[in-house]
Amino acid sequence: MERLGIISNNFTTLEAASSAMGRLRAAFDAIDQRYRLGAVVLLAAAFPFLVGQNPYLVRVAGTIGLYVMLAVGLNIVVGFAGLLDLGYVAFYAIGAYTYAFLASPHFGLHLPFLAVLPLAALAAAVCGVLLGYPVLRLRGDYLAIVTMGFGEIIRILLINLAPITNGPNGISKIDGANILGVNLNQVLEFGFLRSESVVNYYYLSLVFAAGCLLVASRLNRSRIGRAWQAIRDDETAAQCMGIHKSNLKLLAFASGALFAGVAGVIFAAWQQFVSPETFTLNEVVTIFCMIVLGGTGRLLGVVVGAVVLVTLPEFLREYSIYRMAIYGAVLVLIMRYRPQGLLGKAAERVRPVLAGDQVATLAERVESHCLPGPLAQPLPAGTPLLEVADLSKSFGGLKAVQGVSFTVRQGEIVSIIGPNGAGKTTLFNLISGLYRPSSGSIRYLGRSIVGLPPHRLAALGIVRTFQNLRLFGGMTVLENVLVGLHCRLEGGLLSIVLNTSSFRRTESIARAKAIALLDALGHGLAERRDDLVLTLTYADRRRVEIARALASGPRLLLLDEPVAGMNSAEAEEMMNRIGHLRDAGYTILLIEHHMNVVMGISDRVVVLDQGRKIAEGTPEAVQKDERVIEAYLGRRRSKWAKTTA
Amino acid sequence: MDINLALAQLPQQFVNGLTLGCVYALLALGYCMVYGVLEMLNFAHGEVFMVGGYLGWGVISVLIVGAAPAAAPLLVLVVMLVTAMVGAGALGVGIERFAYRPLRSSSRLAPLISALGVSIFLQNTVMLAMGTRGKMYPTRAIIPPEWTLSFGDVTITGTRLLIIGLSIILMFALNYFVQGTRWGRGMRAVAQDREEASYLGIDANKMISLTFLVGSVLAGAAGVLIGLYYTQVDFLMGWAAGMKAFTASVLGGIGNIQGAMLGAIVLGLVESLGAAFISPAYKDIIAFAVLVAVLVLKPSGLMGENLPDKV
Amino acid sequence: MGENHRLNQPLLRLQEVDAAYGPIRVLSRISMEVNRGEIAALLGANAAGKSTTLKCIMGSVRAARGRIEFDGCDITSLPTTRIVAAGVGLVPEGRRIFTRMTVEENLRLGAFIRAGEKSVEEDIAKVYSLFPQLAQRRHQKGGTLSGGEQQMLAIGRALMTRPKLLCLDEPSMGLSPILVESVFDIIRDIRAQGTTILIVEQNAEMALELADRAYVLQGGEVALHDTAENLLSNDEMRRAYLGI
Repeated sequence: MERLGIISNNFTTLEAASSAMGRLRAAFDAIDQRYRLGAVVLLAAAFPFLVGQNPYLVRVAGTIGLYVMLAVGLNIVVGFAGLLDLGYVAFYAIGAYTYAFLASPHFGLHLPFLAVLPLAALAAAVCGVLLGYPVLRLRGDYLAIVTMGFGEIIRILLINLAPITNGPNGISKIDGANILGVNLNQVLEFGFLRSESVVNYYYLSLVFAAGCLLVASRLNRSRIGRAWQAIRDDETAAQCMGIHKSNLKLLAFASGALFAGVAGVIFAAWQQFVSPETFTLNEVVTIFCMIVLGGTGRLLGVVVGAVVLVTLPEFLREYSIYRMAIYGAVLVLIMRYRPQGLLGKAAERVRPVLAGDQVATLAERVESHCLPGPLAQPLPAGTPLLEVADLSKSFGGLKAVQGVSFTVRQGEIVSIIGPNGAGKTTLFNLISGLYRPSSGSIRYLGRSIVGLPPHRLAALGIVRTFQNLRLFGGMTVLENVLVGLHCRLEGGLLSIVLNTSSFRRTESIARAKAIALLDALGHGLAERRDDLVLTLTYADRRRVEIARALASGPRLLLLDEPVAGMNSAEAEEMMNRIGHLRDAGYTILLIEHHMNVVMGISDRVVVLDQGRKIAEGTPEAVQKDERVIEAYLGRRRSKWAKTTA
Repeated sequence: MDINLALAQLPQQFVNGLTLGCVYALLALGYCMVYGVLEMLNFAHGEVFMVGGYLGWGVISVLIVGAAPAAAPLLVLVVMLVTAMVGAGALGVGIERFAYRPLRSSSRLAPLISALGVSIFLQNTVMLAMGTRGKMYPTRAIIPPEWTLSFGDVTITGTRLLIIGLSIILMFALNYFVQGTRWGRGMRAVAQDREEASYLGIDANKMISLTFLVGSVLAGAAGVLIGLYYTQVDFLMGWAAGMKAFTASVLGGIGNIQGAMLGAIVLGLVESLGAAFISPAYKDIIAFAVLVAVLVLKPSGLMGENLPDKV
Repeated sequence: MGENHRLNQPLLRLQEVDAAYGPIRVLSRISMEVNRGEIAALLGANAAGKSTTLKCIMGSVRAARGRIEFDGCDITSLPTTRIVAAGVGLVPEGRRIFTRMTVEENLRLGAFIRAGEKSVEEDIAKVYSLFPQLAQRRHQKGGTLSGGEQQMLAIGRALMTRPKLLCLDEPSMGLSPILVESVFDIIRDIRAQGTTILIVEQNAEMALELADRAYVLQGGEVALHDTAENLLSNDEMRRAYLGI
């Protein structure tokens, strides 16, 4: 009974704490981000001295730093890229043991800290790539199990390969960190400040934790972060926007592994002892809890999660045996009742964008800073752009497309129509690289594109929209359009991480261009650019999808039912817009059922039925074609084929 | 290592492997059926198995005093099995209702994280309630040591006979249930095409609960059997066995019942023979290594079909 | 008095039904009726909303507005399983039989909600007499049947639910004209035995030769409705399908 009393007291404390947190958060949000960050950094730096260098408290704080690194790393893998890596702790172990091998009496090597750190980080990252490469094409649950298996394999190897790892006894007497001649194990003096060794390691942990947060934050705000989120929201659409899915997943995996490796090195140098017991599945679960509590994907949430899950167990020491059971319950309850974590949705705090007049001037300079899209090199009207010859696709016994041939020329609008089951969507999927043809050829500007993955096609200038609208639901309007720009943006990993001025300039220009595109589509989309895309009306979402497609600078636009679900007024407006696009130099291939749209704007119409092309010609010709009328209305009688008087 | 000695052990290890494989098969079927109907990996399934083992022990602690042979061993056995099966079944259904059903329309990650949470929660709750050291199954008191068959070098104890025999009976029963009864048909219909099944008036939720029930009942029985085999149950046994059973069902082609059974037997044999001839310490790794190899090389398993991605 | 009144009402009535797939507006103010004992057709070009209308009736798509009445009861927001139990059967688009199960198992599944009745056996026998080809293949897996046989199986299975109203979603799709003829003959037989039929078809002509009355959808709205005879000679049909 007494125990219940204590627990219920703690619950009331929790309630009070959460409402206090709510008020704190509101107050927090009100202050400018940069001042906020500055205040937090100052606080963290001063912390040891604020508590009089209390070794216990400083040690706890240092541990928080370690877990922040681990959680940020796992957050990249799970929260940003959506990959359930349950073997994450293996990379932590690799980092720690690498340092133990290279800086301890175990092998008699005593390399300096700053030399081992990059080696260990690299080792972890390489293992991340090695694990990731075969495993990334697996479905979510398989991925989870295989990574879990990998983590366990590493742990069992650590226990059993005693000659190398010293088995369950672990490796002890590891060298402390010796950085540029400064030995952190000693008491250091800076003028009148003396810092004990525990404080030194706290600062080491703090510096690297802050570094990890900074790097993660920069990645998040860059095209790589957007690409990860796009993959997480809708892999297929992401590919079609030019995102190389496998490479980016691998990058996420390796980045997470790298962070864990770094954390491992610091851990080993601080503890001066490593053993396999530290690197269990329970650790992964704990780190998962941190991410989930704070809201998967949100960096600040990850920090809060780390703070909560390191400090709470300290306060509730008498309940430590209940800890894992509570973590398990936490995971279940949060997933069920509050999947966005305790902190809730991240308030969008986008860096202030350029003012209106600056947009105009920058938009003119846009092309010179991004990779030139195909439209920068206009082709003469009538050049064959897309040549489909004798294209066929079968699924088992079902012949979805049989021997279809047609050509799309520069500057045309060609529509594909046909009754249900005619093969139109299959045809689109073949052209956009999502399916491989069973036979036949597809040539773009004379080159065969059969077998090219969708992201390559996007880079070549072929981009599509989707019948069922595949926007990235977790991102804002602007971010969706920015993903479209992905394949046209320069700037590698290094420039992102180092936040070079050229990277910043590219980002600004990208944003300007995206806003200009949204503005061109009207309907106040540019003003709503920071709203989550799912809050827009259906018609507006369709427009955003078009803006996203246009952002990739295509030459050939494949539009899959662009007016599906719109009323006649909206459809007509979209029709006009498509006409404008053609006038601006784009070539368009579209699937549509709204006959008004098709007949109104098409230069030519291709009619499919049961997988074959049955007619091709101007809209007027096709409308009167007996075979077409039969296909739609009836096979034997063509009573309705009378021409109108 | 003496080859002759090793070879002489072969038949015995074969029997051991078969026994182990049968238990894994009972577990694997649960994974397999749930995956078939929900396309989801039930991480918590191994813990249901573990709870079954503990429920069996609970019966023992009530009915058997000390290590003395039980008065009516068969009766004790039956009560153990029934208790474990009923309890595990109820647990499985409860888990689905509480932790999975509300998440059915969420992201792909949410049910997996929830399943992980359930697994950790159950494992630790049992540890807290029952202690870390595991509980003894006085197998000799339940299965008289005289019940043994011997052929040459091979001794098949009563325990092994029971396990193999009961597993086979249960697998046949499951097969009959799934293939030959109305409920089994309903389960298969919901697994193949949930919307179509609804047009025939079949309630998907009921069928899903039934799937979990059947899988968990088998897991409960498996828990008792493994307790008899190793003469003990502990709170960690669910996790390791779960991984292996999952490996078995993937090996056989996930979603394929016969494949799961085959995969489990194969895995049991590989594990026993590997432990005997390579090293016991690595026996857990063998399962994981097999799993990784299979998933990387042939994701559809030995008997499964390649499922194309939907666009 | 009440019973007579009920029997005089249409078996199925939709009033001002709106429906959407997520954000996509698909149906707009659909009103239609199907009278007892008749064959009604729902026509229109693809994406006109025909299948969605059926799905609304069956309860797998929620009507955002409006009312659906079946046999005197409001079924607008009932779950699919209850609607099926009330007597509405569906032969879905693309047949969707259970390919991994045998013909016999598919049929028995049709009687799932009627378990335990001797009449199940009678009904199976009836289905086999209606479709002798199925009887020959009763132990074959559904996936091995030809397109036409699968269509028969789908119809037979829906019949096992003993529907008062049988809805068919594009039964002619993917079938040769001869097969379509025999399927339509069977539909006539089923109606003759007392079941009301609602058929959704893209192939307007064949459907109009089968049906008594028809509704033509365009852009999610009812564009035309008339007796089948009248529609067969109505020029407006072409406009509804192909624009002007």
